[in-house]
Amino acid sequence: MNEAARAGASVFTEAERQLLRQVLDVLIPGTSALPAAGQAGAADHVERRAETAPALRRRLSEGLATIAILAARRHPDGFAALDHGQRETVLQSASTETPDAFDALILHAYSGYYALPQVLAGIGAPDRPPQPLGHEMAPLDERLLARVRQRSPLYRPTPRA
Amino acid sequence: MPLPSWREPVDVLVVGAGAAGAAFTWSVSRAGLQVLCLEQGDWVDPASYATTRGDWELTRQAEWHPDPNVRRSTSDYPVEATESPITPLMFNAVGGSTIHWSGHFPRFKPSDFRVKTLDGVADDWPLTYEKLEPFFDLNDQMMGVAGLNGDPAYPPKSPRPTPPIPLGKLGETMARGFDRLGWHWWPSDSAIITRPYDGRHACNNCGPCDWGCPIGAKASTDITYWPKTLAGDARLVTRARVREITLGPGGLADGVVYHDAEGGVHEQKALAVVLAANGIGTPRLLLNSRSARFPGGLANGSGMVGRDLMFHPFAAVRGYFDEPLESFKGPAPCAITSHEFYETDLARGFLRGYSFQVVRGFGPAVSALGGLGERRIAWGREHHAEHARRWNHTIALGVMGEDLPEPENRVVLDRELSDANGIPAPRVIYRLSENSRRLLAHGVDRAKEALEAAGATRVDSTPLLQTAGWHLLGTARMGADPSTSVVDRYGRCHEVPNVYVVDGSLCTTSAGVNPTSTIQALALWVAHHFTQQVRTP
Repeated sequence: MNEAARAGASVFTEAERQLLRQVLDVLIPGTSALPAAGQAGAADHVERRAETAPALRRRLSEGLATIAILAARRHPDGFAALDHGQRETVLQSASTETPDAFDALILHAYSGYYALPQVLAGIGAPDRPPQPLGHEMAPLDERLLARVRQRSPLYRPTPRA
Repeated sequence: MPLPSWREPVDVLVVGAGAAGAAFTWSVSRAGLQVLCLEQGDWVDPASYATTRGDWELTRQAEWHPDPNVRRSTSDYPVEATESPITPLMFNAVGGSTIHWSGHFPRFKPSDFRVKTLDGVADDWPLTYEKLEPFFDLNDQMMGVAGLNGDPAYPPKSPRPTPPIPLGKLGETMARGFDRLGWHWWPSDSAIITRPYDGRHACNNCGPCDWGCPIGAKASTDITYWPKTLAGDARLVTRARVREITLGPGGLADGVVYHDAEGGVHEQKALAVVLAANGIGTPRLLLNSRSARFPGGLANGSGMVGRDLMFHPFAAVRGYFDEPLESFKGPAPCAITSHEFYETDLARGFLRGYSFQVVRGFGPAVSALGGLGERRIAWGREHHAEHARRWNHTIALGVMGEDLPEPENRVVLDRELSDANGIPAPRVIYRLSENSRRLLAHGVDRAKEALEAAGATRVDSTPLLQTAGWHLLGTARMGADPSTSVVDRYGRCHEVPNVYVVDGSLCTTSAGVNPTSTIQALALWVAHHFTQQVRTP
């Protein structure tokens, strides 16, 4: 049995999962060209990473719990009931109250978001990993070096040892 | 603890299977000597490298992180570095740090071997560039190099095994900036092949070399030296962590004690012991090999083991461009270099000099998380706008400065921290010198000038990059005087003449370029003379 399984059933509870998606939408909101992180599926990436790393899972759960508590202080229905500005304020507070957890959340949110094909396509990046296809590039045009080639030696002469 | 019975003694026992250990073992094993190499890491399967996966960028923040204190693999040992503004980086595996290195392959220059004579500081090496040149050439052939002859910053070199890496739009943009200022630039000599070579595939310009190269275009010694070496009689044992070198009668080393992966402890006898455990691991091992004859560590009667630690202090200067640069194409860390400010000019206010490295871009996620010294992009409403300004629009210029040796910069054994086998961890004590500070400040200003000349609309900088301890040098340095050095010109310890050092520890000075080409040439030089000595005692 792996550690994640020992620690309990699924990685996040449904409430945690829902909160995570809402938080991700504030961390990386959508634009006309790009989806918001939660709606785009970055939460799945975060959860997959947490699944294989119990310490990360605990840290993220701690961060989400902090966010839930801070949100509940502002509205009895929690984070979902807050407007965008209030959500940002809650996350700012969470980033100072549990900085390690918040850092982990950012790391995995960004990593997950920028691995999504629709995001990569939206920013003009190749929507595939670097290998195995790589990239075509023109070889060096040696004419570019004509000026440098004409320079005198730059290396310092050394006396005989 | 109980020790098993003695194993058969070998002629040569090498500690470490990285850049230097591989080169040394290959060379000596060809001479018919019985060689055993012990490596604390394991083989890494190139098929496991992350660049074939969608989440490839994340791995560099976790299991593929260059800092062993973050990575915490079972092959790693902790390094106490809270007294250093530069974090030591390394990788423990067959291939060592060449597994995750960038492949920059410049040589040290003739003047780098004569620092005392030319500039009145540090020391001269007890050998010259000219003596080392045949070993540079041999190593270039073994590793496979892309480059172009005719660089006025170097004496003429032998033909490069494969043509230079492409510049791409990013490299051409930066080259135009250097041209406008009349400064030197040249395509980087890189241990990355651009044509099929020695049974290996040519580079396909995928980008992130330092994530490991699954097609084998980037040279790492697990795919260059080791297959050839192991086709002969040499033996390599992985997951074997050496604890100490043992001293026999007569003041010579007679073997090592090592731990295997299952916790077993073994003794292995050898006629000679060769250290290739990097500039931190090698002094650690010498310091941990205490005896009545050497209470302060083996070969350390002079007190010089661990001292004169040199990194390459590194500043990162970033230019942001309006035009997209196709910065994800081409070997990311290697594009072009400039050696305009490499040699000493006293008018600059410091001794020695530095090189510029033009670094291509990072992937979208690492760009968001902060590339070469950048701050992480803030979350929230402005995130996308800042990401668009950075990703595919940034050129980073690295300022790699020569670090002069100072005895107070050193590696010692930590009194509390130890590794999984209970071996004391190394503690790194390092202070950036005033000379290095001035050198970097000059480099940052010139880099900004160059980026602006290339068309950057905004420039910022990191004056000293913390996560830049790639190069670990000088801690068992080579010299003619046994009171101020640890090994002689043939890498042999002054005080224990059957113990040799072949890694970056033996560098007398650091130069202002990446050291692997020079370290491997030194390993081949030492191996050549070792073999000669054995043949004609």
